[in-house]
Amino acid sequence: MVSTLDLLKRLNEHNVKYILVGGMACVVHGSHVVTQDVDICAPLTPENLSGLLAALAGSNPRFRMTSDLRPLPDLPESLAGFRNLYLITDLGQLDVLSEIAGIGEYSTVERHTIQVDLEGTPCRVLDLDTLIAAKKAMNSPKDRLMAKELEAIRERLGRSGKR
Amino acid sequence: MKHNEAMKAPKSMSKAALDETPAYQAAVEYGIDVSQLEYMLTLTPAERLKRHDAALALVLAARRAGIRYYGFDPRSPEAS
Repeated sequence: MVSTLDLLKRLNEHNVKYILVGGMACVVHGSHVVTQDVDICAPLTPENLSGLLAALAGSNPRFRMTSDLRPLPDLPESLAGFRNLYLITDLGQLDVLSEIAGIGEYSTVERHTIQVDLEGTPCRVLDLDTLIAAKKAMNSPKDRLMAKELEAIRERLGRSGKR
Repeated sequence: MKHNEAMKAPKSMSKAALDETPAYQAAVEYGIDVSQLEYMLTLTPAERLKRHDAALALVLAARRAGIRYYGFDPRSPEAS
């Protein structure tokens, strides 16, 4: 069966620098949300873009925001200047963000992570406090709702003495 | 399963026209990723379910990873 987890395995296999953020990160911390997309924060440097393109090769990556779902180019130079990449692939949806609102760019984001094991796939995930700050900075009703859920989780973790 | 054409977004409606509809605008303002919705509407219902299954595998893996990380289920720490 096709699994979106394979997207992250491929990123690791190609040494792509990334941090899991967004809804999947919320799930790691206990959120009930069921999401389909994988949001990562990653530096969009030529080296990292090269790894990203290699990781996605053969998965039919396309730009999700284009009406004709334009294919992702093969050369990292073609992606110079992009701040974010909103992609659809045969393995699932992948949003690559060069910075996180309210937090900053990858170099800042990577200081606020935890390391988890996704069925044998090591993965750095945005920590709970920073995830809450990011959701609050987004300020849409949907993100505010998510921030409230994460704050409730944080409070319960603190109350139970397990954090 | 035969794809029901009625479940696709109306092709006669341009993206710009769609952007101006009240429901679409309200969804954007609420924080809904409408590009995701638009993509899903290009798929057949069976394809949508396959997408959901694929993503669910990662959701479940993420949930188990959180439990391993915290040493208990962060959704109900007091019960652990």
